[in-house]
Amino acid sequence: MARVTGLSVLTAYGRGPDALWKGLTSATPATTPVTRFDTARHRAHDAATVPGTPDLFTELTHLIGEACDQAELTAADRAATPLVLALHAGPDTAALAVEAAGACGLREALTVHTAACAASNTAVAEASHLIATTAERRAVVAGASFVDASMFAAFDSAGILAPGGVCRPFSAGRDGPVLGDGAAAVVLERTGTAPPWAVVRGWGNAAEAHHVCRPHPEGRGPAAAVATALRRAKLTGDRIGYVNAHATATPAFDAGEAAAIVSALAPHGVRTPVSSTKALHGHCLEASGLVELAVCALAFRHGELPVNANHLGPDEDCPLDLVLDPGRAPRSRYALSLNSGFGGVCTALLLAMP
Amino acid sequence: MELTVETRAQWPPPDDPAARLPEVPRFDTSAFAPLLVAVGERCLTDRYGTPPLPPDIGPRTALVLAATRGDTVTQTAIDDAVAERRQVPKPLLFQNVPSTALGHLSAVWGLTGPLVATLAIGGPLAAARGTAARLLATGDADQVLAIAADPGDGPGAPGTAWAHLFTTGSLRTPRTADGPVRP
Repeated sequence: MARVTGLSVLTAYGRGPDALWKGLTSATPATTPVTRFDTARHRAHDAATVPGTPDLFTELTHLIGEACDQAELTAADRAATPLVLALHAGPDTAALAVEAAGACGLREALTVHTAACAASNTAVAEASHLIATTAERRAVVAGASFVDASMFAAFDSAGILAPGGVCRPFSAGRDGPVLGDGAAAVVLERTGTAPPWAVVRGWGNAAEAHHVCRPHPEGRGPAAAVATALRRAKLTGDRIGYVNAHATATPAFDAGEAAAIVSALAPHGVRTPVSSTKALHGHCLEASGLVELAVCALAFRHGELPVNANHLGPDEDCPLDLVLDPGRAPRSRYALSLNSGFGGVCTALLLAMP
Repeated sequence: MELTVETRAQWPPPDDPAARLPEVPRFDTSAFAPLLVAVGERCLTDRYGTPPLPPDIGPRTALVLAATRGDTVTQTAIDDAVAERRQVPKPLLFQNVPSTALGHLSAVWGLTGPLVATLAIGGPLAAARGTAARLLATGDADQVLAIAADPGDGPGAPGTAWAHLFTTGSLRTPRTADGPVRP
């Protein structure tokens, strides 16, 4: 088990967990027309972005510092702590990781996870495993993804983005995601003095082995990832009180994921509260798992589940108990956070309320 | 953790350094994915012959990538299209993600264990081996196809890759002089 003793986050709602929580409980998407670059030639024109053009290195190191401060790590603690990252794989990303670890006074950069939207979850899994089974007492995990012209154009050309700028996960009439800026850092510790936000109790990772960019209709991959996370946490499906779903409002992927939730938590899957908060903070790609870990931690802390926003009506392919109204309390102290990526990589984190 | 190398492969092949990478459907802009697929397939073919893996082995086989960099050729193609106000070719979105090439291997060979794509800090061989050892230690896989890659910077320079099929030594299967035997 790994305790989340430091947590910092930046989304289009602003800087810090409080801004994120305020945005989530407003149930109003952070989406606005993109001004960072010209979208006139594109089908979609909206994203959930912070003002200006964030610098990846500056934001990452700032967030890592904030999380370490919150976890009350001394300079000596930091010098003994490794960094695990989740980032898009660019030409110089490994060098950036080494530089970021040095700038934050951390011992070393261990790994940069690059499995698209699943990258943050595989990074948290690596850190959690190290803390649980090796001499490492703690690790810092950080990730970031900021919307840029190339990313937006590639998604738009592929016809994936919601043309109207409204992401409607699991809903009738859904037509794709809205991209979002996101960056976050967490300190994971075996023990620690700071009160934890959450505890990582389990994780699972499975390749769907169906198609490089299409889901298996029965959600074979996410179901296997959930099964592994439950097994690792020594829990059964009835103990899960909330699922923060990957759902990007892509018709086939949402249906596959819904099938996975229903089957992996059977017979309780249809009654387990589910929401995808990508409708609110946008799809943060490599940073998704960390941003959504923060969402789950905030839901635990405030005793309220974030809504599945923009829902127009039920879709028979998504027979889930969606969190459609604010004020609903978690049904138990355990939550699953799911994220899947291109290539069919499917991941689950099982988080416990401290 | 002590790892056993069940089989290994390299691209370009030591006995044919001028070999052309086999084409991979849907990956035609860059050599990044064909490089990973070619070296991974050589390793799996050496061990199992033809795909897919037996149904009791595929789910217990993990797939790891440790690369020195991402697919810079595809990224440049996207950046150039944007700079020149051209439409980005549709397949470039998924080609630009390292896990997609691994997904091709997993779909063809039926590898449904964990899939972890990383950039190497330091040497890719050591990084791939380290992640493979960690996955074996979790108990989520009995064997790991670990690909280490140093991708090239242009379409004509695919780069170099190495693949190892690692176990903890408990998955030994018989071989004959004629080739691999399916367990």
